[in-house]
Amino acid sequence: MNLTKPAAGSIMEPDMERQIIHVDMDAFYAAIEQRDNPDLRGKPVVVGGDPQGRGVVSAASYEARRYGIHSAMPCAEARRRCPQAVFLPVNMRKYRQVSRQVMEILGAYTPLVEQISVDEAFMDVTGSRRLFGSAEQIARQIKRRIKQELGLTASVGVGPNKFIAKLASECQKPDGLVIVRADQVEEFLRDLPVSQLWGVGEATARRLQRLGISTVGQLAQLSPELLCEQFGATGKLLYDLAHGKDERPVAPRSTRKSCSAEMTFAEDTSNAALLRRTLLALSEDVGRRLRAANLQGRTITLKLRFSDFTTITRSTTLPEPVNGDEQIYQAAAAMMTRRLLHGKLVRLVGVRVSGFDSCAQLSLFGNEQSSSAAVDRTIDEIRRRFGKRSIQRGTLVEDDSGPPRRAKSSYPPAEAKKRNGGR
Amino acid sequence: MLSVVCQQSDLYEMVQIVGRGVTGRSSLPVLNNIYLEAGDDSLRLLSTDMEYLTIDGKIDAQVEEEGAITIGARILGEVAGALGEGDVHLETQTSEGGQANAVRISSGVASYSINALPADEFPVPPSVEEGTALSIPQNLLREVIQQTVFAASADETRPILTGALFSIKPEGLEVVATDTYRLVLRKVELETGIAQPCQAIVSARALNELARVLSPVSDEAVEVILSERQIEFRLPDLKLGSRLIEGEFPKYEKVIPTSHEKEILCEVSELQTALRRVLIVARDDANRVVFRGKQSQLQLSAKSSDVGEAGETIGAELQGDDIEIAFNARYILEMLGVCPSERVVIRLSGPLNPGIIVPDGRDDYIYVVMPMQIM
Repeated sequence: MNLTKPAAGSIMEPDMERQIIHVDMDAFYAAIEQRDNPDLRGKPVVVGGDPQGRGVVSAASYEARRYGIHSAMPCAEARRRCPQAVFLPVNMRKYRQVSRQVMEILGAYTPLVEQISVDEAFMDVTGSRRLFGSAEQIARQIKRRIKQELGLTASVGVGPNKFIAKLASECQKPDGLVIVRADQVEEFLRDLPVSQLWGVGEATARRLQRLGISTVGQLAQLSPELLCEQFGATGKLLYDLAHGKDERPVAPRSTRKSCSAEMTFAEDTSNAALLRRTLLALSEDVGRRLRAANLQGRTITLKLRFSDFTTITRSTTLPEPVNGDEQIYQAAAAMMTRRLLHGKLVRLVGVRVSGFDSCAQLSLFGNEQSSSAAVDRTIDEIRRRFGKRSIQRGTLVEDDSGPPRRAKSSYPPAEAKKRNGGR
Repeated sequence: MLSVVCQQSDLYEMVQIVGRGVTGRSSLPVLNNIYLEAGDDSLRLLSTDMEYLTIDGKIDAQVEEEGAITIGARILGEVAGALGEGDVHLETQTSEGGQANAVRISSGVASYSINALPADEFPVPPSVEEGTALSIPQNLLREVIQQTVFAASADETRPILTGALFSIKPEGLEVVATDTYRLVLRKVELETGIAQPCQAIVSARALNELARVLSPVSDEAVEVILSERQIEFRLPDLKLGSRLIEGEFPKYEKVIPTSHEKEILCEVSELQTALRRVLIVARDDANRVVFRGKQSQLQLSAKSSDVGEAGETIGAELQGDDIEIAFNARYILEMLGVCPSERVVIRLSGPLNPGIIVPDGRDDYIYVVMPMQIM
């Protein structure tokens, strides 16, 4: 095991260990609302759902969390637990704007900022220390600037890699600062429940439990051979994580390789029409994000997970890079053949666009070539101004069932949904 | 049966021209041949791909017997080129059944008998009987083609963009080409008025072949005949026809910016030299070159994580704020290569807005080019 292995590119100081910072805004949406409306301060605030009380909680202030309210909980449930809480609609536009301000502060310290959701990001400050001081000093400066300039608090974790930095930021929420040095990693991980490990879901946790393993420290005792035997490819990952190893680089957005969206159904389904509608909704989501980032890709991948958890993917490469909803959907839907589905129950469907045009040459006609592109742009603008559900395709509302239902969250994705340890 | 005598130099030159119409990829073997026809004191040479290119030429000849035959374009070209100057005699040879199956080519002491296919196997190429006609000087048409077709697309999956739009209006001719990343518009005033405005998309391949045979100096007129499906360019001894590309050309007027905020004026040759030098590095980054206009300087730079960096500064006159914008250097160089003036004006608005390049002092030539994102 070599925790202090130098990161690639640090030739100048061969023994320099990577310094990764994870910044996680505290109860981001709710905190912004409290900041902007002093009447809400000190009160339980729940952001999410609609005026009728449907939908799920996107964010809950720390006051509301005391009542057991958390992200992704149905709003009705939240209201039952704390009737006096203030319920607010999601104002994504405002949150995104604040998010940009946060990222701007982070970007002042290093170009290596990987934003993984609206309210969290990783930074690689290995090369920034000469300019701005140690990782700890940088972390303190960031927290101070976020507080002074934006009136918000962030929990910050510092570690030798992304995995440790993220765990560290979660240790002392809210307004926390936890620094884990390479020589402290083992101790830091020892008593952590295995379920905290990135990539360990319920199923894996249960199987570990059966082996008598409940903490990371126990897991670290197992040999890699045994883990691989028990868990296949995941075994190697488990071994590395248990020993605090994580080589994933901090990858700024511009080097993004793909854009995807997927959804797990509330109930497994073999209904082809529902699957296609879902695919359309996901294609819209991916298309909007691609257009917002001014990206287009040539490879479209369809992903299906069946009720028995087998997962298959099918890809196609188009002659020209695309980012239109309709183009993505058509390519993905064409691969979702009856033969592929075979009447099986589908648990998850996803679509991914990759193979981006790396040169980023802009087009004169951009999207004016087709009228569907004009529609996409108009819809993007309406949604930007009035919210994601302000406008829907007819096919997505045709049978009163509305957009397909997700297993846990709904639009907009709850904060919790995105807290899965980065990509 | 065909039997003619012509000059080696005339034959060789015309085979070179007409042979360009043979793709060599045709599924119909006879289309790899040149059609020869003797009559009217001339020898006619014709090739066609039955699609975008038909070349029909004529050379002076003494006709001993009228007739027609087809012969492989490549072998005819090689033979014609190998023969010495002077008279060349071509004569069909018949098999026992009376069918023409070879051509005897002789000159001085050299003699060939080359396998041939009968003329009646050669399909009748599409032709134009009547249509809108206009005439334009050779050298001008050549210039217009060279200044435009380079911007057409090579992507066969979008046929419309593989051609140039000829838009004939009462006030003159407009030729437009675009591959969606850049667009070029050349206006030509015509002396002969056109009553009926019309539009046609002409294959860039055909136009390139046409430009090769047009004289850069002669102002002798080319007659252009435009029908619904076909266009034909007529010179005294040569006709070049092409089937029009069907479809609707992108609405180009809309993408030509009508205003701008900044202007850079610089020497064409200086910009060319600098771009070529920077391109050595830019090549590795999709030809991306960053243009920075500041005070009276234009700074060009390129960067590649694999290769390194390159930079160069040239003098320029600037109007408006400082600017930073990235372009594909090839796109700029291609335009500069055909630019009819010594200085160019680059008009810009923002780093993501189209740039306009025009020759200094001219309003008949506009090049619109989209920037690349600055990474």
